[in-house]
Amino acid sequence: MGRAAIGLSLMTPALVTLLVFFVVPLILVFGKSFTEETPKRATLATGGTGSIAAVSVEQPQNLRLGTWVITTDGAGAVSAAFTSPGARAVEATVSGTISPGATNDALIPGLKLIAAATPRVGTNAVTIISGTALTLDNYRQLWESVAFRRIIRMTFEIAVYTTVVCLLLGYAFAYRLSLMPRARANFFLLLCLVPFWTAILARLYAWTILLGRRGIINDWLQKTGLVERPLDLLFNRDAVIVGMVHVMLPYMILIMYSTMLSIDRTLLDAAKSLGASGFETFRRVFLPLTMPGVYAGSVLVFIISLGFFITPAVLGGGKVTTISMFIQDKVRISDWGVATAMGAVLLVITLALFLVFNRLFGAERLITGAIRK
Amino acid sequence: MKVLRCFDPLNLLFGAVLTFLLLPLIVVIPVSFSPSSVLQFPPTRLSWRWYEDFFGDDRWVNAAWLSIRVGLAVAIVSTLIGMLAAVALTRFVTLGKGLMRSLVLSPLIVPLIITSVGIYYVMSELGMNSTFQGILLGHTVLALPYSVIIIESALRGYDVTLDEAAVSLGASRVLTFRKITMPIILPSILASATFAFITSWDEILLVTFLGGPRAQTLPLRMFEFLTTQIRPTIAAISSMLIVTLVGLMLLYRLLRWQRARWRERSRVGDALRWECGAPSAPAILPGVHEGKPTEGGMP
Repeated sequence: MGRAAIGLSLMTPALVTLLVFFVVPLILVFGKSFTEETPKRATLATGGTGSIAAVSVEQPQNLRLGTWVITTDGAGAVSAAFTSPGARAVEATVSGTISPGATNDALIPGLKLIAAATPRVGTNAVTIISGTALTLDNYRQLWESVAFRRIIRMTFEIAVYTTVVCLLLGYAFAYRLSLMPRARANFFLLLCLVPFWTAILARLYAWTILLGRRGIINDWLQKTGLVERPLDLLFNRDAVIVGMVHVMLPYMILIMYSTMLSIDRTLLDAAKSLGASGFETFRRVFLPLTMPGVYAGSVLVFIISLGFFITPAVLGGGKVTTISMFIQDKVRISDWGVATAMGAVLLVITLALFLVFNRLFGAERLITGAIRK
Repeated sequence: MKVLRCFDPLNLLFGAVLTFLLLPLIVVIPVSFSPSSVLQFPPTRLSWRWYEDFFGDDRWVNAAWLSIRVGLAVAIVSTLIGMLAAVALTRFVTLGKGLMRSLVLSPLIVPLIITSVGIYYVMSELGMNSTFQGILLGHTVLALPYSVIIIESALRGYDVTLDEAAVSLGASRVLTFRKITMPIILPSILASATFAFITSWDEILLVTFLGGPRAQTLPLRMFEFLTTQIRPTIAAISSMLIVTLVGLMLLYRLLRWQRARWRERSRVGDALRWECGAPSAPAILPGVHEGKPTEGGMP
């Protein structure tokens, strides 16, 4: 076997898994955002012997998918029985009359039946199937809804605040770490990693007991007499931001610290020996050298923050809806069209940011980074 | 002077950030021992009530057991598939390497909600919703990129002359991989398994679709519990998770320290094995996911 063949066969399990459970479903799902399932068509089974000559859909919203078996007696009396796919028993029956050569749209609501000019005895099967049509309706619907703007604004607002707070705190923290001896810095870094590795729900639960109306912070504030009534700290946008900063801060610290470690310290000493003050050295030498880390960390934190679901769901208490929450909700009620349209919006934003990031720093940095050592 | 330095704004901020990161985790533990079902801090008496609540309830125990089983299965499947892919990518594939690599890593970049919706859709079509296999495969998709990255980086830093020596002595390629390569990259294989396990162990969004009353993982049950109830049972679970984690981190440190000591004492042959091998797994930055492993971290 040649190298290429060995390589391909070794890749096969990974490729098959990803194609079947990742790539193909994504393509199918995004196909749904451009299609509409509602307008249904009705087909008349060929070879029927009854006197129904043609059938068309009048009001698709009144129809369910399934089959009407229509029996005619040759004298104008008609009875019909409906079964939906998968159902074992007949779900509905109707009966009425239909005169030769005329149309009847009252017998089966939503369906227009056209009788043959010469009445016959027999049965016809009319199957109602869903028609898929290409449409941009899902996107228009999304664009026109008030919820869309609110959700996009809320998601971006939270992501921006989270990024800014993480950047400020992370930078200062990493700066202080970088001034320490290596062993001590590693110890503190290890402490930062404890929340990083803790189960997300344990952390969120911790925030609910800290921030709740009868929570620890309110309790303490009331005991010390700083406030008279408990503050509403939980279940709002700010609580979500606090929770998200808690999740994202360790990332920022790791990125900033690794950037700061890679700086050549002799440059700082050189600046000082040339007469720069401590602050000036920081502003004109240290800060510019750490800017790549600042950009990298910020974009990374921002991209991840856009996709948050669990934290806003738990700490937002229903008052905060992010893009991910919206999609999850719509999929669970099987509103695939709008859900996937929103998914496409999120994907495009994320990929655009990712490409910018890739251009600036290389994708490797986002995915793997030898952060430590 | 020492006292003054404590009040240096930078030091104050440093302390504040550390408190912010760690305080929530510490606070949970006393709450879990409180006998009352309303929040008491610090608790007036200590009790095991909420731990009994957890272990006495089949639904909780079953959820935890399912999570452990799924996690272990994901660790094995993801590491196995990931190792084959990593070997292919570092040693065999030349044509279309970049494309294959991006394909394998793409679940990290695509937002988790979108991946989840896709997986949910295909699982529904295949009738695999609410099944062990469904969750296993779904989580494998999420964990696979980590496995590939970790093992790939170990293989990149690997000294190929070791393999060449084995082959020149008559070993087959497969035997060489099993007897020479695998033992040397073992730490990375274990790291990959750990990552895969935690990816699955802490995943919620995908299981809100794939799971159900018949297949409820621990995080899913915690999530549903947390959004509907305030019983401190969840404090007991959280405390156990936190204590286990800290314990494992300490154990890991201890092992590393032991290994370092053992390495010092060991003879040349053994030392060589540790020296050339064990290129330590890289620290991973995660993809666009919330949740832990997806949150990245380091082995």
